[in-house]
Amino acid sequence: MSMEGDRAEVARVMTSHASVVQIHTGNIINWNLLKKHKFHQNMTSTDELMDSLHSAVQSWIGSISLDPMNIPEPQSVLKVSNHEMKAPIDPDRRESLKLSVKLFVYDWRPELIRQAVDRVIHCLDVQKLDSLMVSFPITPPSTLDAQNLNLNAPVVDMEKVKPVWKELESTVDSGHVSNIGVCDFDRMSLDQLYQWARIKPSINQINLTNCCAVPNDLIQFSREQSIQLLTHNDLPEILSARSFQGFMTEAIDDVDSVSWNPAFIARYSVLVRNRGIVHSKGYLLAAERRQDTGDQTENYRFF
Amino acid sequence: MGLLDFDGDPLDWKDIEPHVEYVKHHGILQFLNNYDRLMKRPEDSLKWGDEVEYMIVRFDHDNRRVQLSLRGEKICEELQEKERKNMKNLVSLWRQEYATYMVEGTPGMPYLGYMAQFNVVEANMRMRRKEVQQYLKPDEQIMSLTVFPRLGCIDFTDPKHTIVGPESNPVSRSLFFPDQAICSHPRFPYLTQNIRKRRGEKVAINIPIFKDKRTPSPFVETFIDPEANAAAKPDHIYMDCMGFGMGNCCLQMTFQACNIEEAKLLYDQLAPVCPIMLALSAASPIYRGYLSDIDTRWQVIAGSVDDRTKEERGLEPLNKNKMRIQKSRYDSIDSYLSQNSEIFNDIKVEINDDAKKLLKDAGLDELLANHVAHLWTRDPLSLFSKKIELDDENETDHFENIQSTNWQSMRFKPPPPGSSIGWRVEFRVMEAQLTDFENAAFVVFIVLLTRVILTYKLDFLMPISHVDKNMTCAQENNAVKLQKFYFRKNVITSGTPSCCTQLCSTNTVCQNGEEASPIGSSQSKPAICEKMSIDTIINGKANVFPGFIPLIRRYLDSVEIEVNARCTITEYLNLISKRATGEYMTAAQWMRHFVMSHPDYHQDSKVNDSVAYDLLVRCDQIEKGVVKCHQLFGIPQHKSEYIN
Repeated sequence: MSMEGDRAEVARVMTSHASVVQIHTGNIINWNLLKKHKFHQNMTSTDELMDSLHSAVQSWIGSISLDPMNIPEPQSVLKVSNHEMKAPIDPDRRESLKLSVKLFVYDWRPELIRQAVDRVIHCLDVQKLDSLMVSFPITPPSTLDAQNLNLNAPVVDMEKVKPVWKELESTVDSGHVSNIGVCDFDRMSLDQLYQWARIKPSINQINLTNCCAVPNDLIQFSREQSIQLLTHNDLPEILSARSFQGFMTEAIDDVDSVSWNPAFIARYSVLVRNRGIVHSKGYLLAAERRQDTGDQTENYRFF
Repeated sequence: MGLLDFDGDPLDWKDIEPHVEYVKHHGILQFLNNYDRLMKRPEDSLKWGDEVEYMIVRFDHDNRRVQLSLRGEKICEELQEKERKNMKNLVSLWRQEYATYMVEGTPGMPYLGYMAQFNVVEANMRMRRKEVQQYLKPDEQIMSLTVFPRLGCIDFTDPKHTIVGPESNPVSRSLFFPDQAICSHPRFPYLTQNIRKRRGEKVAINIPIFKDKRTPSPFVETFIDPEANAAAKPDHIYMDCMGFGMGNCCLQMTFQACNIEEAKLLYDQLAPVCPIMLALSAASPIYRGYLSDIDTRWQVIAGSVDDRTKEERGLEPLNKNKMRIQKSRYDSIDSYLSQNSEIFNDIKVEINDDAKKLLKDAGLDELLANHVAHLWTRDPLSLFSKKIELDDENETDHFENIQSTNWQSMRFKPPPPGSSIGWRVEFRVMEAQLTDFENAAFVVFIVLLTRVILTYKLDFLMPISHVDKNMTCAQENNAVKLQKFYFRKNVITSGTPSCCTQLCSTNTVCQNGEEASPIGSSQSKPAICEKMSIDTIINGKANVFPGFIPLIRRYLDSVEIEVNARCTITEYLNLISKRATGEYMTAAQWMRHFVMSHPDYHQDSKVNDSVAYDLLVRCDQIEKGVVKCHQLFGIPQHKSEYIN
């Protein structure tokens, strides 16, 4: 077997032992465009994410040491990181930068918030995030609901939101995040949250296909409560569990990829405030293996 | 045009000549004194602004004619009242321009580097028009028209000025453009006559006429003046003075870079973009009442200030003059500035050796020294008797004199002494569009492009001779759809090690420090650029070119923009995109179409009073939103708001 093949095998084995995987794409701002063959006009953030995940894994595999004195011991938490794509943030320059994070969570566990914030802070080696927007797990919008038709807004269950929001508030209390917000909330949901919350949402990020047709009541309300209405261009689901599982098969040849479930994806963007230039951008993904349910679909045969 | 404070009497060319070397020498010293101070500047933030030039048009509805109102200079003085009173936080600032029918407006404060600022540009432009409207008479309108279609035709001004021959206009000796239309600040008339005097004859602008079914062939005009008859070319529209060029309006913008290196980078990267934007913004197909075969003003202005003597133009052997000079002092730039662009400087550039020596001895790098020394091949054309001996430490008039009368597609501007303004780059090619929506769209597009260049570390550089070839193509009739332009194929480079590129796209092993060739490339080095259509350059084409707009959209997805700004920017990008595909017409093509389908047009290339009147009435209606023009642009959603 070639060195490459050896590394791939080590990667596969390490992955098979892991119950948690954390992938950091590194800074994709320039790299992403360098894939000349891959620059499509209509590339979505999903395409961008998948590409950068593939690259992170390739970079990780390429960096695996085959030195018999140094073979890595499989861990239950597998950390995959694109080593070449570092864009360190100079602490002296921190004030001139704006670090914004959009957090896509896959379930309603409040602890995901703290986990994600800690991961970003650790990976980027900073003290705090300037803004954190949470994109809650979507329930497909009811097509019968005329009110939601405009905004493609998820049906928001406030009782589920509240515990998560409390976590977000604690990240502000602890000084790790300056501004907290939500995504794709319609006026009613935003109002409900606003009324109840101790620390008010200061951002609502909505899909830009509607940016010229935002309902006036939402604009009005946002203006009154000083909520920034920002835009995003993400699909309703940035990466399905199925796509991620397919990725684990393709990229690492994982035996049991169907057991993987993404827990969260954090996209960070670092902007140079007064020059309008993007310093860096990247994704952090965390996934967990579903606890064994006895339902083992064998994708791999030893013999 | 920059206005310099003046003191003393303005000098005639023959009185300037003995001081030429002195002014040039001290101009360099002033630059160097400033330069030393500037190298130690702390980092500057992004600031930018636009300059829109306008004409005051008078509509004679009873007689169905249009004229240019010469009250512009006076109106400008009234507009400047607030500035004179030192009032703060003004919405806009006003400047006189070459012609008395023109005014130039800029935002009161430069825009900053925040995304939200993009939503203010159009609103500010609209407020400027409102401001001027207060001073207009009921039959006058303010229009951002690049060229007045009947400029130089009989009685085109209000008040009228009859011209019987060159003697009617002692300053310009023009047969068409009255001296009374030249702004009275002495700089302007003296520039006009000194250009003529240095050159040794009147300027001669010849623009190919559009040959329609009944246009005489050859098309020849006979004039009272023998000089005109000798200078006018058959099948061309002849124009004979500075007013035909500098009396046109355009859309300019200036950026402040964070330091000199970034300024050089932006200057270089925007140079190949100039011809593209010229073609896209084309708005001037009609000259002196005739349909021409060009869509933009560029060569008209180049000809209008061409002070080169016959020797310098290569028509006579060198005797009195030192060297032949390829271009007029108004034209595209001749060299790039940043270190790694040196290989692309493939035009032979004339240099003032004395200036270069001074600059190199002071430690300036080769490229910047060449740039300044090239500007210094031009003589000062205006000088005031009491402003010859200056304090070189603190005044930069002599530097500005020559710097500001080199009118080029880009201008590299050092910080003025004693101010907080940093290194700036001026983008100067774009034609003025009819509406604020369009003008704002073009301005915002360019600013976004600079952010994209800096964020993604893009590289548009290609041989500068190709940029010049593009400039020629850009002016052609319907260049935006018919012409192909050289453009760099691989703009996504630098900023990351080549090892990474290889890792991403192929599996070749690359050697350290050397660029591995991409799989599939032939033995010979592939060409760095390719001829592309405007559509490909702007909108992209799979496997050929990413496209400016897709790159900008990618950038926008990575920054935080508020809904209204995003909506506005989306509309602007749609406009540019559709102008590039041809779905929307350029203003120039639309005007041609309007003229050629008009019942009073007789297929002879003549744009008479009736046609011109209806054309401008329509232009005005479109600007005011009274009439929708789906050929120029759709129905944009206006989200632009002015924030105090």
